[in-house]
Amino acid sequence: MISDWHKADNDTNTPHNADTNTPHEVLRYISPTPYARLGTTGKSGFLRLGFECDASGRTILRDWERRVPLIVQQALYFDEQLPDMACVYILSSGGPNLDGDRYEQLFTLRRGAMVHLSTGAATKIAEMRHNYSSLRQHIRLEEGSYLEYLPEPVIPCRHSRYISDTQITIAHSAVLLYGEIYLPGRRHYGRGERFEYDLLSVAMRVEREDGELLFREKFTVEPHRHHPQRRGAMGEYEIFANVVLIADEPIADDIYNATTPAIDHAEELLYGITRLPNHCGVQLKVLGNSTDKVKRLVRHFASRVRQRVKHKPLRDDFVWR
Amino acid sequence: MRDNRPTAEVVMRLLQLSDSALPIGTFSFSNTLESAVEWGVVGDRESLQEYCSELLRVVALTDGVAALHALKACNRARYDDILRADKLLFCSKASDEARLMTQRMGRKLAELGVALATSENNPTEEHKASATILRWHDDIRSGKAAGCCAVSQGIIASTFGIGEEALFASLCYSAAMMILSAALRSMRVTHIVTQQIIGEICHLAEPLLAEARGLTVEDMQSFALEYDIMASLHEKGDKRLFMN
Repeated sequence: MISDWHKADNDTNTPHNADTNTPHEVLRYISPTPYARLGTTGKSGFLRLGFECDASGRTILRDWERRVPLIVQQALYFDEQLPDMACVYILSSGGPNLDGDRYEQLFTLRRGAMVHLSTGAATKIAEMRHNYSSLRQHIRLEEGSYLEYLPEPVIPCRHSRYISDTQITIAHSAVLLYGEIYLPGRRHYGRGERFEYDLLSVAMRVEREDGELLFREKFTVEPHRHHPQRRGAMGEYEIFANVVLIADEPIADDIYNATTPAIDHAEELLYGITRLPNHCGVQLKVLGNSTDKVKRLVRHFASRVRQRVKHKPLRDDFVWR
Repeated sequence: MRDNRPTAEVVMRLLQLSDSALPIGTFSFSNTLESAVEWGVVGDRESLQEYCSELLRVVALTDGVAALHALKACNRARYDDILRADKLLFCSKASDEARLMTQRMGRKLAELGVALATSENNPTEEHKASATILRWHDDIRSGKAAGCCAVSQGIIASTFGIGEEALFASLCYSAAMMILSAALRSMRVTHIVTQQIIGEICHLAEPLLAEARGLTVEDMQSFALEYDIMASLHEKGDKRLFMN
């Protein structure tokens, strides 16, 4: 069951917008937002996208529901390698995530659907003085479906508080590639902003359709309490990527065997791959100091996955991205 | 209610369970230190201490949370909660060697726990607690439980009247000693230095315990990317002085 912790109290602008399932790490930030009431228009974005194959085998965006500031215009078919794949960019009309913003995204890929999802630009978590911003996602993949979800990096600005919770329900023959990149802040703003955010909390839970838990992960970074640039955590690096591939064992094994972990001092990259529990997939973790290099590595990995699953490589990223 | 006062008998039990001589294979593992040394992430006393401290944090907020939860569940005879902690902890272990380590040690510890709890001369035997360790051991053997080491530690602590603080200290000490013992065999560091490091990281135990107590098993967390990548380098590497 999905809890309602992330939803703001729509009726009052009181600090009591937490329920018993609210993650403990945000409790200290429960406070009213004086500029725009919690839960008002523009502060509780919602997106529901349902994909399925039409009679010709092309994946279409069959049903959708959206609430500002989250926007999706239409499915695009720009990938010449996979012309039947629906490519969708999630946009936010409100710019960065602000204090008290609550976003919820529900994606369903029905049998055989094939989708590439990304965001139009980096997700900037704005500087905050009140409350926090959250993203709650539920991704459901039915048999034979394939989803690449590679959003642009998340940039948590000074004193921002951001929590995201992703629940994935996946059938045995479906494949999910989910990759996120996190920057330390606005690195080129002013004198440079690095790890000045208050809270970054990210959780993921992967289950089968019958509720069997396959994998769970949660990490919380609070630089003012425990700086992440310590040996064992991020070491000397500033940027990290967390890429999860949920797939059948033969696919996961091939990707695992084809990926060699390394410390590349010249490129300032450190990356490794491990097998997830319950034979449900693999996880790639990347540390680096250049956004471009980390993105390139993630896309290279994504291309390897696509080649294995769909027998086509990932197209080059657009030059303006 | 079980008396958790640190009597001499309980302290002796604690020492027994924290001792390097406990035959559960602790010292077959380096907890990624072997790769960290090989790849230059750890190379001197300062870096070793920092790496060890960071690992302690990971252990405290994952295994520590599960162990405390198992101890409480065992004391309250809520066996399903023990299985839930075991499942969640196992599903949080994102590398083969981490799962191998926790399962191998957890199983051996459960076997040992059964032997100790059912010993004829065991004066601390208490029917309910012994029944739990027996059931836990059966569930590991049948595959119903993954058998994570931290959960075995929690059940054994309950069986022998060891309280939360002592259990947590034992768990942290074992994790730190696992790394520091491996350091003695894989880098230029003396026994004196490793003991000094233990002395200097002791102060972390109390705040970490407070933090771990504030987490539910659903909140178990770890942010140790470098450590995870070291695990990957070890799994795919050739050097094998230790398992991870």
